[in-house]
Amino acid sequence: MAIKKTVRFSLLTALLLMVCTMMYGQNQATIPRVTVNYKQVLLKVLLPELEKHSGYRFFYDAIIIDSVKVDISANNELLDKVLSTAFANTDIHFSIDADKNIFITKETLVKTTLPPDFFNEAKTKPGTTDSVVYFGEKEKTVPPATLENKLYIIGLPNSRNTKPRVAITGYIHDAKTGEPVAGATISAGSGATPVVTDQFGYYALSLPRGRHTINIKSLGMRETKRQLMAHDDGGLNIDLQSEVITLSAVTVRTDRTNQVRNMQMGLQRIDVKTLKQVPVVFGEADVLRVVLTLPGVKSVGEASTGLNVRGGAADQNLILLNDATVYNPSHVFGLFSAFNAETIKDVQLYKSGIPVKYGGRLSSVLEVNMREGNKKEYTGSAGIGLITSRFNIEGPLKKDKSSFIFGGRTTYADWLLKLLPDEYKNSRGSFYDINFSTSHELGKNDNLYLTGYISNDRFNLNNDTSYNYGNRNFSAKWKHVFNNRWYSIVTTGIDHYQYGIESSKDSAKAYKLAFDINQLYLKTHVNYFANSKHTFEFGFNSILYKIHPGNYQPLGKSTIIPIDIDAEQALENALYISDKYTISEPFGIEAGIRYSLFSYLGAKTINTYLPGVPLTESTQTGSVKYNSGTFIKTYQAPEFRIAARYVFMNDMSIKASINTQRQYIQSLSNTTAMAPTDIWKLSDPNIKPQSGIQYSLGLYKNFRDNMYETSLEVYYKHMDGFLDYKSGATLVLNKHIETDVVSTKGKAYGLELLLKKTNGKLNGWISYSYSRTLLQMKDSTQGDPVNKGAFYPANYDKPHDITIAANYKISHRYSFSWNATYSTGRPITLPIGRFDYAGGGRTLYADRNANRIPDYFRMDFAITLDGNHKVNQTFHNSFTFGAYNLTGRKNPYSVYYVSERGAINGYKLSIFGNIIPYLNYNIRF
Amino acid sequence: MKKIYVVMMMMIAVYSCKEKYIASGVSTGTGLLVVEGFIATGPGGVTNIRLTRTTRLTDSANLYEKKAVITIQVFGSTTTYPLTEGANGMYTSAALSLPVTGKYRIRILTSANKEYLSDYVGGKLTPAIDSISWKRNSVGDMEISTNSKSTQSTPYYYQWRADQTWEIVSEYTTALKYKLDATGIAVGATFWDAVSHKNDTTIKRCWQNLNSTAIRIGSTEGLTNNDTHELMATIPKDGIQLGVLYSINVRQYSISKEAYRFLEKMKKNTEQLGSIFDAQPSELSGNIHSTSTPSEIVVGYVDATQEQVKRIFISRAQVPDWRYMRPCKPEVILPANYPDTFAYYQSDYYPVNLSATDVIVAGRPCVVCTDYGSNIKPSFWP
Repeated sequence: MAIKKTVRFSLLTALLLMVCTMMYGQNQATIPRVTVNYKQVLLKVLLPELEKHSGYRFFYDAIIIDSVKVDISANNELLDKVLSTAFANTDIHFSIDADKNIFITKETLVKTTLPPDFFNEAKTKPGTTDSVVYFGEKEKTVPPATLENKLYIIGLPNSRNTKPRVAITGYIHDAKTGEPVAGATISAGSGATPVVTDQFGYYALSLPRGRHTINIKSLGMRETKRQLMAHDDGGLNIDLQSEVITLSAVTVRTDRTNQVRNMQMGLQRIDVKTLKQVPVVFGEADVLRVVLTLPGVKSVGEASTGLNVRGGAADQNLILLNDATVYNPSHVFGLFSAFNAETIKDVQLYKSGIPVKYGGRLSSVLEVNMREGNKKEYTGSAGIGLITSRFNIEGPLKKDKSSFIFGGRTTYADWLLKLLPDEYKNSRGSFYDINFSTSHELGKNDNLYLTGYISNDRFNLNNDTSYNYGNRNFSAKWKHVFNNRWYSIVTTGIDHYQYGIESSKDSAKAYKLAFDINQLYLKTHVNYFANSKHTFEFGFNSILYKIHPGNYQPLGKSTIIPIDIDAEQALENALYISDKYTISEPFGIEAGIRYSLFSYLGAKTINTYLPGVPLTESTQTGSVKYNSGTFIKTYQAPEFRIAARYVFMNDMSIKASINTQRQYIQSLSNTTAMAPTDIWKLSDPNIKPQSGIQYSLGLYKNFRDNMYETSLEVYYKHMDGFLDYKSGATLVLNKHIETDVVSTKGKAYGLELLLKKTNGKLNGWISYSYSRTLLQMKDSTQGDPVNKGAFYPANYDKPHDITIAANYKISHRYSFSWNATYSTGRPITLPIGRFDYAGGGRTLYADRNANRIPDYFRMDFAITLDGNHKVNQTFHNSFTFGAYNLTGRKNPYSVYYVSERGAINGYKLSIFGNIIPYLNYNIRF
Repeated sequence: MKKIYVVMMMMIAVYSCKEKYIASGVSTGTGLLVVEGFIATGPGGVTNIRLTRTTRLTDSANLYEKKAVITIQVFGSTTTYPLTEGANGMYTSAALSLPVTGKYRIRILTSANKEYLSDYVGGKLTPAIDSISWKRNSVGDMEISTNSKSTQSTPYYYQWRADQTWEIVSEYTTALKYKLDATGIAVGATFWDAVSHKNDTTIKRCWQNLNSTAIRIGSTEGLTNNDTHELMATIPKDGIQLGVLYSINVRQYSISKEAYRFLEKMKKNTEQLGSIFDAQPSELSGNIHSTSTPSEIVVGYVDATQEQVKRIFISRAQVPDWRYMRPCKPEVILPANYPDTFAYYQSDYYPVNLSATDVIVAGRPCVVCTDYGSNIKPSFWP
């Protein structure tokens, strides 16, 4: 395996290469570094100053620069870079030639070199009009446009294309690894609506014919721009330099202006860098825990990574790992998320304005995107932390064409279980997860992606009961670009989740219980970039479910009767179309419709009940047996997704959206936290699907040249068919589970404030949310109303929630992260009285969730130390050490009263009732 | 790398997680009627019903409901059977031999003139307890189980109560006791019986009780036969219970599926909490209702069944390798009868021997068995 060069080396090469190509045939490294610092300085003052420092001569028309003022701040930075920055928001251009001359122009650029293929005519095909097209769509491969100050000509000046606007498409890649950059924004001029690259780094931009400067920004990447002259439709691929390798710039410029100008609302994106710098328990970089710091996302407590997004239940989130549905994204009963941060590129959470291509869950979509792997060289990393050891390796299968990434984690920590409450003391456990993905460029227009994911947990509680659970997901995705305006993505795969329990506590009742869920899916998605005003997306999704709800078998000499509940089958289809319509520069609207069709399939025996009375075993009238392949029951409905945006000033916008969603599969659980042994149940003739509608409104404003982003979002949500459980419900191995559940209504509303500082030495965010989630069960045809039919708070109803996450870069090698969170205690049902029964003191319960546990407060910090950046070093190491729950506060997870030896005792249970220090060591090679 | 591992291990502290906690001001459900007991069916059955009222969470004493009138009513008949009030809210019937084929309920008329009725329930016969067996488990604890056989085709639902008694014999016999001053401080040792100087036999042999405080229920639902094997008690390895002689008395009741669900829910609500994946506590609705205010919460489920009882004894000799041993090492106090020394030893040690120069004391548990239980021999003890 080729060992990668050191960080500093790559950095220098990158810088030198840039300079080198720019100077074109010149002696390299002659561009001087300058130190200047001015605010709103006149160019005519600045330029002589720079001449003095650099020894370069400026040529300009004094009239052009007469009143131009710029901000300039450079500390020993390269002159060309200083100038690009200074002129970024002006229409001033500059060119540097080989003789230390700098030409300052307005609008047009003086070319100091000839096009790269100027003397290479033999390579082109003579006689065709294509021959001189450098960045034309018909060119076989589009080389990346790497220079900021070069003018890229797209199409021919005498192009027969007479349309006023042209379409520019292409891919944005990471220059270092060759991986696509998703979520990068490309905008032409400061006032224009940016377009965002998709997960493949692909973008499509519509521009008026003519001269443009486009800006490309992406989280964790250095901001850059390209000059282009667009005569016709064409392609432009751009490589971005990763920000990590710039020694001179310490600013972290994220997707600024993005949130103001994007049509999308309620979207939160976290890249892996942010992810890794947020301190978490035991120092395991944890996707779900970081998502939990975002406004509008809550969980019932520290033992659970189940997300409650804007009042939704934990099973109402669609968690996708490269398009594969992960049913249980957690390890150790929910203490850690099951995603290996080393292989993850970024995470996107849609809280509202869910794109029409997604469906099947009520609350949110959490996209976890894996990296594609380095396309240029083999690299890898290994790490050791308190809980897991990690290893990952990536590299090209064929240089620049295909790559792979493999990541694995495994635990060696039984001690962790010893930290849990006494019940788990004599326990053993282990888990692992494996991510694998490859990406292949089949041709200019075709890409194939293969992804595999396996996770497994095994626990042995007190030696006589063992649990295991795991996910297995495999998917294949094919992207085909037809032309500049059309592309399609076809994805297929299988998702599998299973759990098993074995208990030999009582040999006469020893058993083995198994549950699994399987789904096979096909997704076809087409993107049609019609013109500058319309972008259409449409497609078709199909999922075939097969669930084995429970297989219960005796072990050894056990006398239990085996139970094998009939498998459930269903087919969920959805057809969708949406149009992103830019009515005018500030005003845009995106409207979509998704039509979902869910069919519950045989073979299955369905119980029938008397109409209009609660479903109980006594109101059961019989059962009907359906054969294999029968469509037993079909539910269908349209779902609407409408969003609008209006930009007021350059940096302020208002957005509104309406979303309707439907959900046909739900987890059944009567425990507070989502347990790994919860079962999933498809909607059937007796259990109706869930549906929901969300209205949201948001105000977005950026300050100080987009350094500060603020947003205010309010929402109101209504949910129907939310499942709750009758008192003492039996959910596992229940052949008439419909008699134990009740369908409730829910409403949620709230306000979310976010202030984010996106660059500077100090960056991070403060979020506040006020939110309520209330449920109601008053339908007496279903059973006894809960809390006399009044609204009652859901388990995760925590009205006030403040989170601060901050990172301070002390130097290139040291950074400090700190976060703090406060929230109202969650609702809980406490006893209202005591009595004596069956030999002991007992507690009396009445209204559900009428009390709250004490409020929650926690502070964490972490320090990351990067090893030195010496050249020719084989390994790079870094340490992270930190502490979770810095104040050691015993935050309650639950408060409960229990009868012990006849007496009633009240307890407060804390999961992490102490300060938890951690240390992580990573090496990269 | 190894170093890092060591550092990590050092950084791991022990995290305590559970602490006592009393939430304030939540007891709004006080004064509600609680009814516990069975209508006894089968030969010679005596019905016992206990009436109490709910109290505040922080209270520990029971609030007994006195001066109520309770009668057993028979479905389709005007015959009623009265219960008479005893101590502590307990109401008892005569031996009635109610036929198991009948349906019964109770009527309660409280002293405040409020009427409560239970739902009619069918009488049941309970299978006799076939045997009570014991064996030692893998860690050496003694597990005692009850076993019943049945040929009935439908599943049984059971409730049990298991009361344990064991004999304690002090390691040291003494004829001495502390001599106390007016404030109760030991100032010396003296003979228990000043005249005869004989041993104090009242603290030599005692019987300790442990009554069932947990809800013990079980069912044969989902089993291939309706035989029952259910754990009733666990004696920790080498425990005092089997130091001499041990006895367990098991009472078995066959109950209806509804009564079973009621108790199961109560067990979940009051005994099976505190894990990470708790089921949420739920409302408990029994089968007793107020006739004037149907929405009033009444706690309890009154079923009609027969009681089956079995008692066994296990002596230490029957259990090989039961190493019950207390560290009863005597200690010599010098000089004898020095008041400060006695006061110092008083709470933990007891004088067992007296010589001219010194006093021998032994650990109080090794001498005074009444600290554990009663020195009155139970009537059933051999």
